[in-house]
Amino acid sequence: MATEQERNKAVILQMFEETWNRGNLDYINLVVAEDFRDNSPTHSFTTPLLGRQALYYAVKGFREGFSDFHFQMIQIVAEGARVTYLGRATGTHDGTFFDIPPTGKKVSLIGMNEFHLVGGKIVERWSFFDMLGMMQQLGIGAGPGGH
Amino acid sequence: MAESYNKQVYRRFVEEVINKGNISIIPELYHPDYVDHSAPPGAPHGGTVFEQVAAVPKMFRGAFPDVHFTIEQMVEEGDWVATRVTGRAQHLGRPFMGMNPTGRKVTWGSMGFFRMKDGKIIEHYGQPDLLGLRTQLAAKPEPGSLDENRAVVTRYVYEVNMQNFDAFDEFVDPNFVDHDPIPNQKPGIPGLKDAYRMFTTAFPDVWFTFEDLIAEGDMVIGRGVIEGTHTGNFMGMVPPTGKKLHWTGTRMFRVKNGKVTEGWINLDFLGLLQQMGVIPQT
Amino acid sequence: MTATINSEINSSNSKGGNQVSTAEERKAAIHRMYDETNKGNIEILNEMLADNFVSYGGAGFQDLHGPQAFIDLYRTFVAAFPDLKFNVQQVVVGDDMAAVRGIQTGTHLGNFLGMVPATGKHVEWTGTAIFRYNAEGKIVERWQDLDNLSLFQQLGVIPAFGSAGG
Repeated sequence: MATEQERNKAVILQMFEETWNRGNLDYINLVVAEDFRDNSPTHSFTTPLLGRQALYYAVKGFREGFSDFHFQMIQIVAEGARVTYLGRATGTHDGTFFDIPPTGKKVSLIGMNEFHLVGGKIVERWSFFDMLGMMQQLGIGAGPGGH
Repeated sequence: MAESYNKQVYRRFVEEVINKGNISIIPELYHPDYVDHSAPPGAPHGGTVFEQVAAVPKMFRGAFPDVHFTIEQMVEEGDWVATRVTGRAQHLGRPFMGMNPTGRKVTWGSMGFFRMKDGKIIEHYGQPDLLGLRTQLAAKPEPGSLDENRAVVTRYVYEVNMQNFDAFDEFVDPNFVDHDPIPNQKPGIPGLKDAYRMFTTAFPDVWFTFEDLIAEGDMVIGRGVIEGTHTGNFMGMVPPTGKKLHWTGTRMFRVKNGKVTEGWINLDFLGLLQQMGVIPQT
Repeated sequence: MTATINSEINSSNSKGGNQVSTAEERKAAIHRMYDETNKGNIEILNEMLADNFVSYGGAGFQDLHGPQAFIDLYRTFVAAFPDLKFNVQQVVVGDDMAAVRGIQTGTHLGNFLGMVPATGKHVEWTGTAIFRYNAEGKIVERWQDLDNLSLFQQLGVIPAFGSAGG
């Protein structure tokens, strides 16, 4: 019999595979609660922060910018209702990424997420993605003091 | 609810090492085979585990003397502890991410993954919101705003600390009035430079660290601690003692159009002379 | 005297207690604090200082805990300088803090700190006090830097070879 944390881990692993890695955005409806709240600290994103659409637009934005986007799990750590995910994201910038036109460059970046699940559904997320590293690898505004 | 041993180790790192600068306990918390996959910007390459880890509070506390991290969440499973924290600080010290201090207050989040072995941290991945932090640090203040005034005074103090007196024209009004001059201090910028030389001659490494910065209208006041090693003659009267000294001080300025126009100072001059052995302790 | 003090405390309470929320209110309270202590009404400090008030040493003094310890120290200064006054030059208020810079004056008619017998001299020295306020608008922390060197030189305790500044 799987524990709560084992079930939650499975949900998260599946979510990354289906949505981030395969672009199956409908999957979000299965695993994300309607009143989902996102806490992405990265100010450059213009995605909404409330509701399933928050995660939908976040994944869509990345996959539109990087058609071969892939999150490789390094470590997953779960305790009760919380699951944390450490992964390395890779991809080729072959599409418009939010408002950045394609550069053709390849990126390799660390991303960390914390998820809070209730009843097997994701109700909240905190996301820490190496956006500064992304901009440096894409060759954009990378200097000190630049935006 | 009792916290697990591993979570307590991380808590001690945040509360003691980072928030209080107590680097001496690092060997209690970090394993000799520690590997950091995410050294922070500006961290040294190589060196002992102690040096590697001590570089983190040194960097943060150097730039942000009042830095305080709050642990928001810790998730533990097996050998791993994943953590989420919020950092709060005021950029009053040294440059950070290539940016000079401006007195700006910043808040940013960070996550980390720590693997534990034998009760100590042996592996680390970290992902702070550096973009968010840098955006806040780099934001240009509105002309005439309190942010600008704080930035002018923070810059003034930083350039004095760096003994870059030639830059004074950029942020000191030529008609600067010093309300607490040293005896026979010349007017304006030349007099001000002479006054600072009095200290830099005696204490070549003299450094003012802010503890508080208050701004209102066109006034800004900073309270802090000054440290210096007494390796030169002080005021032509007190030969070097070689001692590391520290004394308190408050520095107040009026700021207009991005330049300081008037200054006031109060220093624990008596305490300084007592430490040099010139005056007996009261 | 007691009746006057009580009516002053009552009038401040009738305004809704001691909540100081705006910068202007805080500045007004600071001016009132110095006006009152300059008149000899030291008890006003009980109104202004929180129960867990701390005045950090600096300038060679020990940390003081609680309003009474601070009032006691103030009284020792008044005993040495019965006409002790603080003339406020600048007040800067921001966030939960305030800074006051001014000139302290007095005539040295009593033994100072048990060390310096009365000289009869009129002395003045500059000083800056920094306050941190709690949510109720009371002062909970205080720091100070004062021109202690000049003070001791004027009292003749230290030869006048140079004065504080720079």
